[in-house]
Amino acid sequence: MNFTENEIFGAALIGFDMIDGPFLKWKREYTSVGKGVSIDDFAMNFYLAFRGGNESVKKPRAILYDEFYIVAFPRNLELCCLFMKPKDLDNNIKQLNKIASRIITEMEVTEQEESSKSSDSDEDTIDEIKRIIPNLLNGTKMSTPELRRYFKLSNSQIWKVMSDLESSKKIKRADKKGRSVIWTAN
Amino acid sequence: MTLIGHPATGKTTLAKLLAKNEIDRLYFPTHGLDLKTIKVDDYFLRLWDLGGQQSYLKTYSRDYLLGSDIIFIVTDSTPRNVLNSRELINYACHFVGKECPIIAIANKQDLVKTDGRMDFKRVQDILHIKTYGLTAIDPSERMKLINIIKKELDKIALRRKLKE
Repeated sequence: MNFTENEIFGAALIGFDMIDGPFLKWKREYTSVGKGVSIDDFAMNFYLAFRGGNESVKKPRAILYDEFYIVAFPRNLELCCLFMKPKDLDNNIKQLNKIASRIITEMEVTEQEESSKSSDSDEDTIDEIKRIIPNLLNGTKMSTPELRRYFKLSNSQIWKVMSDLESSKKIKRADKKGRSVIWTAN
Repeated sequence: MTLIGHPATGKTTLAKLLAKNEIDRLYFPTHGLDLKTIKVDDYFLRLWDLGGQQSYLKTYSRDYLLGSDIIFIVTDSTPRNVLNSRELINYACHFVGKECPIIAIANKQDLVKTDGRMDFKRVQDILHIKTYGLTAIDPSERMKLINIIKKELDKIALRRKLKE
């Protein structure tokens, strides 16, 4: 990683009190950290993001957010966080996004192939799915393939569930995207 | 199943004992929470081990207590800690109904005779909830802990008529 010191635009030392937990011990902001992010309010979140759980679990060294990234260095129970500006990261993220999209698309195809072979869910599970879907679609829209993946159902099973819910007026068609129907709660 | 208690009472050691993980005697606080899945006979336990520091309890306990089937309040059996644990019991009672039992573990019972700690019966008298004594650093106590959990889970299962 190549950077100069002026890419560090903030630093914080998060201490740990055995009774109260993490607290912000010291901070210096050379420029604003990022829109809507206050180091004071997020001290515990940052601490947990780097040190959450027990010691045996592997911990991250750096976390990238939309407008900044943090590199953290633990010293015993304290954590020194350096806030950095992402430089030349846009291009890398775009490239990585392409790879991620390819993986997601490949998995969708595999899942569709496997779903046709999968065994039927029992009646209790289907009832539970019928109860959850209207809640899930409340105030939002989702496509049939998305819902199928959420509940690990086959194409025929999800269509049976959606048709039943549509007949009972619990959900309705909101849109169509390509060949996929987009659903929302009634 | 959720483990709550003040810092350094032995929640993580209890979780390690259950999971057959190596128990070292070093204290390292749990940050936030830790999750373990453990099979005990017919039961798959999802064990939430919550960090005992005040800010963690305030942030996480509400959400995890709400979804619990059983809550263990762990004390280190010192008089002060036992008294302070009453507050935690009241706090937990706010979030769960009668169907979720709150059980106390009077941990560090190996120190009762040497360190002025309370035996589990005394702890039970003070906390007014079912209390079991335990020494979580002793691997031979694993079966005892498993039996405690099984006993309590069987009661829950029976109540919910999940068992035939």
